Amino acid sequence: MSVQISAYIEDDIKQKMEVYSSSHGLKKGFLIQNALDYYLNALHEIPTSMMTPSHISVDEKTFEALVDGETKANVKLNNLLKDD
Amino acid sequence: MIEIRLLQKEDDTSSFDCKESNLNLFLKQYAKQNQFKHYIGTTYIAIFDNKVIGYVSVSSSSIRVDELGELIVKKLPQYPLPILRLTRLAVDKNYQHKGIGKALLKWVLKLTLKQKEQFGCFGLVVDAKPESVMFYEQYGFESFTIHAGALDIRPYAQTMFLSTKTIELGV
Repeated sequence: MSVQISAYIEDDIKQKMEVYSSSHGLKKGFLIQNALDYYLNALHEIPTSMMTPSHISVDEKTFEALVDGETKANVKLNNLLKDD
Repeated sequence: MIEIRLLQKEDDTSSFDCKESNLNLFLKQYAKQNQFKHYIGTTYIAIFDNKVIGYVSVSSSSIRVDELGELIVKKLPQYPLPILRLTRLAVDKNYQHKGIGKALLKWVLKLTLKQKEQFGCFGLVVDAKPESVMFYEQYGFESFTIHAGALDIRPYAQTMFLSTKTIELGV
């Protein structure tokens, strides 16, 4: 028996799914069901605590701080990198 | 003399003990799987006297903003920023406080520069245990808050960042 689910996903993932779905003639439901099945099976091999998510999301203020942040190296970093 | 190199399939990691079960388990059970089977991460080991005395695990990742507001959309990159992510660093209990962690961090800082040259890398992100935050802070790493993409570990790791530009200036 099939049931309907609803979930928010990120826009680029949705776009990838739509491109794949239309280029391979596969229904989105089929793709999602298989992707979930593969993912959940993979978790039996590697628990989530041992996996590293493929990307990090931040809010725009944090993103701005990372992009425009301090770039000067401190003395300890200098010493560490020059200590060969 | 301590050697740092890439983990090999034949390396014996069974005697490693850093006193933290999750970090021990990762090296003994999952590091090789991640590296040789799933290709989702790489582990470098510190060797002394033919024994693994420390390790550091990294994977490539990216940072992106959830949704860019109109105010700053023009001045920020509108694509994910490639980064190197240091997910685990541990030293065997018999070799702690001897500079092995520092040596492994230095290895990863240099790896960040290599990644920048070969594929592009905006910076190094570290998932630091609460008790290791100060270790990274002393080198200029800054804590930041993430919305998604945290490691599923307890206690929660603090995400910290050091830009490639800063590392370059430090060399």
